[in-house]
Amino acid sequence: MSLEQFKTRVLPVKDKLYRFALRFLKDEDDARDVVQEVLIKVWNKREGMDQLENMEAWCMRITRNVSLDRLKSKHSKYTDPMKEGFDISSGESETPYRTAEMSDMMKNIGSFIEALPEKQRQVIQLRDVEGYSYKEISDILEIDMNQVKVNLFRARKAVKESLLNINAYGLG
Amino acid sequence: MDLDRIEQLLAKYWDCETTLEEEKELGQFFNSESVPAKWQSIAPLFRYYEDERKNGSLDGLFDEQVLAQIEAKQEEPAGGKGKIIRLFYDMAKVAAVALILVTAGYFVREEYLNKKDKVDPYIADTFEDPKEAFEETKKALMLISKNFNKGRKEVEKVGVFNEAQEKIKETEAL
Repeated sequence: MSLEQFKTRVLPVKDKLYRFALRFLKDEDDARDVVQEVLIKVWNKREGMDQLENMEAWCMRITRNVSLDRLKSKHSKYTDPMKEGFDISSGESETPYRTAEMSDMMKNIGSFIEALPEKQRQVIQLRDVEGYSYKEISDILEIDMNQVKVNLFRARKAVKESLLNINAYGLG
Repeated sequence: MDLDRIEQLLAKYWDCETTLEEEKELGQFFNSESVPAKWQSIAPLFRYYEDERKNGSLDGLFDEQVLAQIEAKQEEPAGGKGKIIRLFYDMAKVAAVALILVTAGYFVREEYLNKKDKVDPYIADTFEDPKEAFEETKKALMLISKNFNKGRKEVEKVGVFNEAQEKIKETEAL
């Protein structure tokens, strides 16, 4: 793989890798470091890459492994899940039709998803945010396809219930 | 957009039976402005997902950093040249080991030859003249005999005790 191919095929995936790493590490700088490490790793292994059937899923899997390694190496430091980076209401994403109430609810949803069990959180991130197929998710997380479906089902069910609760009682 | 279809898709979505395309459709629908009131509570979810996609991204500076690192890497071990250098290193390793063996061998051989040249006094002859040798031997044997006799005198004293003991045993036997 040449540098040009790397730029067109691997580099555009960086944001997905970054968000995925952020899910694990909950720290923007750490996630950034991880993505950098992953991309260098990918570059070093570029020779065998043409045989890969799904390069993107492979990159995601490396990201997951590197993130987990990093978590292990400094497991004592655990930051608050609701730190910056999930503050949806601020920034340029503000659109005219978005009311304050709407962004409040989105914040609630964000913290609710953060509070889901780890597997469910990862699966819902990969499916609903990044749009991966079940097969790809099972490759990335190295779990069974049925496990993916079960986790997704539980996660969506929990999210649905929480949405109904927010609506009914105005609580998150 | 067909609202019945959205209703259907949404039901399928909660049951995890939607395809990726259908989920994309739902996302588009709920991110548009015209969401009917009955779905106002669900829209934030899809907007949240959309926001997640947009917000978490790395800047252009990151690209530059990574590409700079990669280019730096690319320069040092470039293809065929790297192979030659590696081969050279391997050869150097082998040569170094061979050099050590040869030097060690040389010193061992040197030591061996030195020893061979030196005369071992316990094996080789020390006197040229037989008479002189005879005298020297006699002297040595006399020394041994003198010391031996000195020792025997002491042992004789012990013999007295032995005799006495035997006498006692005899009287006891009677």
